[in-house]
Amino acid sequence: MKNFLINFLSKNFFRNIRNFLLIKPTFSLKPQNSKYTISDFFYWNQDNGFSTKFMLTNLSSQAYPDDNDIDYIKIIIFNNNGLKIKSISYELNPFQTIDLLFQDLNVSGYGSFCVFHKFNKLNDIILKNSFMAERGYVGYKTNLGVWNFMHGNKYACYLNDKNNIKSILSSSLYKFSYLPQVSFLDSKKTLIVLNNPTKKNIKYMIKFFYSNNIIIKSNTYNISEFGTLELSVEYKTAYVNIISNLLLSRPIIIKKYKTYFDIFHG
Amino acid sequence: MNYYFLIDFSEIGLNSAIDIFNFPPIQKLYKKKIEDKKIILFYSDENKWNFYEYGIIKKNTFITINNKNLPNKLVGKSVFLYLEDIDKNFNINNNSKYTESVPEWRCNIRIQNENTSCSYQGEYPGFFIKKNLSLVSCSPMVQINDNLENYFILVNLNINPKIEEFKVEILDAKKQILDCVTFYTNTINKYNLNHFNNIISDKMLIFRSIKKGGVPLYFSRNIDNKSMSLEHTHPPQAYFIFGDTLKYQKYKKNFWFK
Repeated sequence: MKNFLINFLSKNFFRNIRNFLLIKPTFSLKPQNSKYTISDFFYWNQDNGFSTKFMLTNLSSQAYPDDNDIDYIKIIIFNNNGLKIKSISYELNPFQTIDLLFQDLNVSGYGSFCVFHKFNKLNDIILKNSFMAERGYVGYKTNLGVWNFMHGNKYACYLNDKNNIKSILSSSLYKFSYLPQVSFLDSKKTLIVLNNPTKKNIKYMIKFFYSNNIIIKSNTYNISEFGTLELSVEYKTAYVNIISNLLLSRPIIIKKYKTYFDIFHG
Repeated sequence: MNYYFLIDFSEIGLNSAIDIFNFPPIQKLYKKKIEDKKIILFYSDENKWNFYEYGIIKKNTFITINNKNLPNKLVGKSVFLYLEDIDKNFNINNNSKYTESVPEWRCNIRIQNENTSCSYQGEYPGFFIKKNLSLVSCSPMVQINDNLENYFILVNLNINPKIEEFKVEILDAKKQILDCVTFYTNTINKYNLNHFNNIISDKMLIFRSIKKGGVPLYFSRNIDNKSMSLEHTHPPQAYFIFGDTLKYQKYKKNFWFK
């Protein structure tokens, strides 16, 4: 009875009600079927001297290291306009990790990508009502600098049987305002990266603030399905507020300095 | 109550800084009242906590603290900090939930110099300080290159000010122990990994400690300090969502502790 009640209350219908009533809101919804694995909507950039790599690892070995499963991986890459430009498959042996270098994939510009895994032991995860999620490590560099790493930070989407990407980001009738707890005042230039793993346009309003909380300006930006937006922050902006119907509008932030850059999720 | 920290790398010519905000990331999901707070910095001198009141952070503002501006008594120490009520004194065992929010109330924790900076949005979760932690951190972020230096950083904070030793072992994916290092509680432990340049072939290194844990961070820099990287690894359960995710953490830790 208890399990039935837990399952019933954890259905997306109730998750949406929770989100509407702001009672233990959840930033992600459940995929329709638990055989699917979840991915972040990772950012890549091969533009203006940037290089990107993803540390592709056998996720089965992270979940069930005793089982020595092969991991069958599908990577789908979108350009900044949301156009699918590449779909690649990999098989990784147990405990295998490789550098997936975007320069070897013959892609240019910037955009977002997903990484979906499949392995035998997923059945066990299904039985336990859990989902495996790719939240791995992406490296970015320019010239001879170090790879500057950033981990995935969202449970964004899954791939269904028809090879369609479905978003699981929670949205609401309310507007939610997200404030990255970081100051931009120490950098020469700051970029905010927002992307959209859904099949609908997402409208973001961004408010730019001076350090004394006075608003510099606010702008509205639309990101089309599977698109990615790089946005330069206004001069003298101390911090920003990002407003949308998504419960979690967490951006990626790139701060540029004299010799290199910093990249992290806000 | 979340705690935050400054990563002191003055020995290699780097500074540390932290942005502290006195407002949560999503106001709509935060039920408590935002109010002025005291910023308290503290460290252990092996037997007791020493603290320093940095100043007041007004509600809905932020402050950047740079280690260059700290008083001498904090120089070279593992400095932690938190937000305290204006009328209260330092108490590591306070039960305030002020910086507990959804999503997590974080600070931008930076290592920097005049050329560049690297950072991550981080916190030391308050519930860690009363727990006997352990550690399994699988990192693909160690970069092998003669012109780079890599450091493993393990931040540990415990309610007891005593500084105790514990061991961290470094393994490859085949479970071969490559190294063993002594770390300390209530310390921002740093370990240079450069002697690994010639011995590792795996992309993934595993850092484990059965008795203690904390927040594992990976820092890389060009030897001329002109480019840097800082990031943490996910806890094992972060690869799962929904259901009993802690069960998977247990599987993984059992495997790596065997």
